[in-house]
Order: sequence, then C-alpha cells, then structure tokens
Amino acid sequence: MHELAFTQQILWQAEEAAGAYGLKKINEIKVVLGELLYIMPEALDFSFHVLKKGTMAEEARLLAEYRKALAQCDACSNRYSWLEYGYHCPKCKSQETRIIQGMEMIIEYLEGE
Amino acid sequence: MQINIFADILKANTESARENRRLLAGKGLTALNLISSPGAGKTTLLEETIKRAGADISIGVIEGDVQTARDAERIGKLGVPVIQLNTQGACHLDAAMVAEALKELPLEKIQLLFIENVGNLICPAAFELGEDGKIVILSVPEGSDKVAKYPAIFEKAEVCILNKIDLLEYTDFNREKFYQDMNKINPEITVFEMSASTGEGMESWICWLKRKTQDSPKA
Ligand SMILES: Nc1nc2c(ncn2[C@@H]2O[C@H](COP(=O)(O)OP(=O)(O)OP(=O)(O)O)[C@@H](O)[C@H]2O)c(=O)[nH]1
Ligand SMILES: [Mg+2]
Ligand SMILES: [Zn+2]
Repeated sequence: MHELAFTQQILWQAEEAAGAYGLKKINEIKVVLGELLYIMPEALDFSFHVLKKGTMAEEARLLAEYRKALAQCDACSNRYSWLEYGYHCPKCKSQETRIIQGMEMIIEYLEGE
Repeated sequence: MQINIFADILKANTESARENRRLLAGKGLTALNLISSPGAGKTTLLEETIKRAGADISIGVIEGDVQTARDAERIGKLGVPVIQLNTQGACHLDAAMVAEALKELPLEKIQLLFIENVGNLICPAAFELGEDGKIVILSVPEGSDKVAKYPAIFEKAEVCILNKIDLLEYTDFNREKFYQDMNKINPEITVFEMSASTGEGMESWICWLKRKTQDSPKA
C-alpha cells in the first residue's frame, strides 16, 4: 500500500500550491504515474477518498494518467515494452537501450477556485 | 483557475534522502538498503555477515518492520549498534524515518550501515533513503519468476543475493531462467548465490563488502 504514502504527498503538494495562489478550494488534481511504480488504481482512488477529508481537496477529483514502461534502442531507435524485453532490443538485439517512460511520478496540475 | 505544478510526487522524500546521503558521506559511511519479500532471509544474512565481518568492519544496522522489535533484538545480541523503526502499517521505509534513526546511531564509529527495509519487493523500490546501493535478496523457494514479475527493484539493485541455495534441489527454481531474466533487466548486477543458514557462498559476499567499504575514509 504505497498508494497511501503517494496520495498523502499529492495532497500536501496540492494544498501548498493552492495556498500559494490564494485558492480556497481544489476541484481537480492531475497526476502522471509510470507503470514501474506498481500503483494500483483502486488503491490510489481509495486512499484519495479517505485522505482528502478535511482538506481543501475534500470535493476534488483525482485524475491519474498511467504510462506503460517503454524502452528505446540507441542503435535502431526501436521503441518497445521494457517489461517484456528489458534492455534487449527485440528488433536488432542491441543492449544499448534506455527506459524512456514508466518511472513517472508527477503531479501535473490542479484546478481550483 | 488551473495551476501547473509539474513536480515529483515524492519530492519531499527525495530531498530528505539527499540530506541523509550528505550526512553519511560526510562521516565516511557506506550505506546499503536491503530489500526482499518477507522471510527471504535479510535478518539472517545480517547476523551471519556481522559474525564474519564484524571484526574487520564496524557495522551498524537500521531495522525496518511494520511492527515488533524482534529483528533488532536478534541483531542487538551480536553487540552492534541497531535502531528499530516501526512503520505502523506502511509497507516501506522512507528517508525521513531513516533520518530519525541516524540521529540515534553513533555514526562516528560506524563504517558500514545496513538498512533492512520492510519485507516487500514493490513499495521500497520507489523510496530512496540516501543509501549508496540497493541489495535485493531473492530466496529460492519464492521461485525464479520473481525477477520478471517485479523487474523494477532488480533493475535498481547493485547486488542480488540468491539466498537459500541449499533448497535448490527441493524446489522447481529455474536457475537458467533466473539468469536469463536478470541479464535482460540488469546485465551489470552482481549475483551472489548463498545460503545464509549453512554459510555456503558467504565468502565472496564478505569480500565484496570489504572492497565496498575500503573507499570510505574511515577504513
Ligand atoms: N533453508 C534456509 N533457510 C533460511 C536461509 N536464510 C534464512 N532462512 C530462514 O528463513 C526464515 C526467515 O529468515 P529471516 O532472516 O527472518 O528473513 P527476513 O527477510 O529478515 O524476514 P522479514 O524481516 O520478516 O521480512 C528463517 O526461518 C530463517 O532461518 C537459507 O539460506 N536457507
Ligand atoms: Mg527481518
Ligand atoms: Zn535496436
């Protein structure tokens, strides 16, 4: 259940940012989460539902965008699923490859008034 | 009104990990974060490591558990400084908890600090503690498919200890598949096959630790 810890951080940062802009109420928070964080959407929603009580985000929606783990090959530029092939490019067999997506844990924006 | 934030969700943890790292480096400590499923053998590995290397390297331990102080009691019996952290339900240690433990430890006297994380292969991977390296322990009875199933932690680790190797013949653990998957995910990782119970394979691990701590100014 690291979802609980993630949600706590999301709420703290959102409240801090909203406070800095003089907002009274948060309506929506948008986050981006990479597949390699193994966040379970239901657990995240549940944590948000529980933890938002009594905060500026009490009535807010949490919008989570989940991104697949992708790698890119330096040799042939092929993009492929990292969970399936790791650092071995399935097209040219090169091992000079990098993870380009899937580690994201970003709070993107909030919407409030 | 929309406010763009674009910040790391775990920003607070990342900052506090950076402070831990600065503190530890300043004192010349090497810190290793031990991660595995529950019961893979982290505490047993620590006990056996302390017995074998404790005379040459001064070791300190932070024990992370959801509840109880049992692991810290096991380590305390060996006469090394140990702090127990209870996460009260959380499935991982975070950098702020480690910072609290660092205040209690006699850092001047310690060369090598082990942080035994809460038994879990998933959550601890996302939380940097300020360590110099992650050691992932996989035990034979868990099965060889764990590398493919939880690749993130194997990708981040510097060392993988394949523990309970004494049970190899009683399980369907596929060693070849294990190395194949590992090679796909982290070709640079160092693997030690070991039995923390029988002591088999411990020597090369101890050698690795000695080399690792030699860089520190205290050695
Ligand atoms: N057969 C065998 N048993 C082992 C080995 N290493 C540890 N064990 C046993 O595995 C069990 C769990 O070991 P621990 O060292 O407590 O495991 P842990 O990872 O610290 O467990 P948690 O802290 O609860 O996550 C104990 O009964 C150990 O005796 C080994 O190499 N071989
Ligand atoms: Mg233990
Ligand atoms: Zn390629």
